[in-house]
Amino acid sequence: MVDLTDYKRFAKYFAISLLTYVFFVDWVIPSNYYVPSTFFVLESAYTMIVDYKFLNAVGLTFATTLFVPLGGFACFLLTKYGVIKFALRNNWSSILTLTFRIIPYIMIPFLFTQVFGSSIIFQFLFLIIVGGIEQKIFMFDTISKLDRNFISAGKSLGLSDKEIYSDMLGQMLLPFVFGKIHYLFLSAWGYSILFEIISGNYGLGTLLIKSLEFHDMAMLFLIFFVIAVLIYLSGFAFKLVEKKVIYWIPDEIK
Amino acid sequence: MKLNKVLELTRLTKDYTNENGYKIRLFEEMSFDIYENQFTTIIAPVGSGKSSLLRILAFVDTDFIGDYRTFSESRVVLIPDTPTSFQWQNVYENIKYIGRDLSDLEIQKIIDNVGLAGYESQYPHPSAVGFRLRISIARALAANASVILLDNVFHLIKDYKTKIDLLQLLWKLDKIYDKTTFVFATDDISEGIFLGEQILLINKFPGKLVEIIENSNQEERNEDYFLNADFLNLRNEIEQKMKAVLNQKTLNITA
Repeated sequence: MVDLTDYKRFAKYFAISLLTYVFFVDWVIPSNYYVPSTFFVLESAYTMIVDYKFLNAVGLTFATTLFVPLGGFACFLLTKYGVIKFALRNNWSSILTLTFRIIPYIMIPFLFTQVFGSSIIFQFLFLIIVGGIEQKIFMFDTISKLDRNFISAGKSLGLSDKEIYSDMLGQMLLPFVFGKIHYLFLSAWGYSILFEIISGNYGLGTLLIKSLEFHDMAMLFLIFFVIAVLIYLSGFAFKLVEKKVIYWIPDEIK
Repeated sequence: MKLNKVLELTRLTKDYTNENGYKIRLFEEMSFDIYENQFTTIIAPVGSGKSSLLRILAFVDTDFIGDYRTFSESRVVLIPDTPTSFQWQNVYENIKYIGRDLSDLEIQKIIDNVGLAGYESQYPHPSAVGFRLRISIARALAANASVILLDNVFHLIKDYKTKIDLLQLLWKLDKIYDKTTFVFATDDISEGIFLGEQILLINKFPGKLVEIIENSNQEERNEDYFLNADFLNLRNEIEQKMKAVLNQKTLNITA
């Protein structure tokens, strides 16, 4: 059965936020240049959606953000069926972390657009790579902290290497992987928007720059509002999937 | 009665290098035998290398000097000090995963014997240490182990009643499975005496066998056993011996 607690909580926060906004913007703060009044936002919403091709922009950004968890999950599968044993022996997480501290992610879109151009395909590719790298660092780090007793017990029970390193440890990593992918999905919005700002692809990033150029605060408001709603809804969908996949973890621990 | 040998350890010596680069002698010239269907307990102080010793006995660690062999063709199974049952499988699946060749009836028998009847479809909660220990024991039995090595398995169990129940369970299982030998390493003298028919006292840094004590008391084990005169005398004796060897110990460290 679907747990409605999150829905109810969301509806409550949404209603409170909306009422606070309406109360402050329409009655307390005097009419100003930066914060659009509720009436103005509602009135211009339809025009904005049509004129700015808002839904296309949301579609592109949202689709690319979904590719970060995809990259993360692909990396998990690669690790599960490839390098767990290797990762247990060599702690590469510190090397990877150090590398990406020296070359921050912000540099990658610049390099990408310089080398490959600003095609939408590369926007997807960029997010897969970022997701993959983040996940790899995290997984190597988590693997190095795993309880080695499982390996000793597995060996003495006569389990094969595949059963120990792929099936058993892979399954043990799953809850951590889910937590990390959820976090990656949130940061993916930042990466997507960043890539769009640099590349000029028609997503929310470009729209953000346009709204700032035209001082269209209603548009800016709408962008952040839609991002918040999408993050919440996808987070909720994510939780439902998590409940199905890591069914064995009690709710109080998740 | 002459007992059959199942494990024989001869002149075990092992060094390890700690994180500061110092070589520490963990075991020195340690020899002992373990006999079929005789509950053996290893009593050793904290940090004396009980886990390392059991890893050697389970053939998980082969980096040592000395001779070690088993006289049984079946498996030596190690149950580590932290729970290792799979959380993503229920009780039945956990046992079936190891005992793939066993029939449902045989698995059910193991489940009944370890006291998990009625919990077959239950998933182990991470903090239910006692419950997970029962699953680990059941899995070892499903693996048709000739020797089950238990590494200080009660150290995470804080509840007295649960601990007594599990101690009694091990005592009972030792009687039911006469082809399986249990070896239990602990730093708790009372636990060691409660279960041990052969008690090995081991020193620390370097680990040496201090003495082998036979506990011939075959009385039914329950809470009252802790007040038994034999138990109290034996505990006193072991305490004195351990105190004496620990006071004269010297740390064997080389750069």
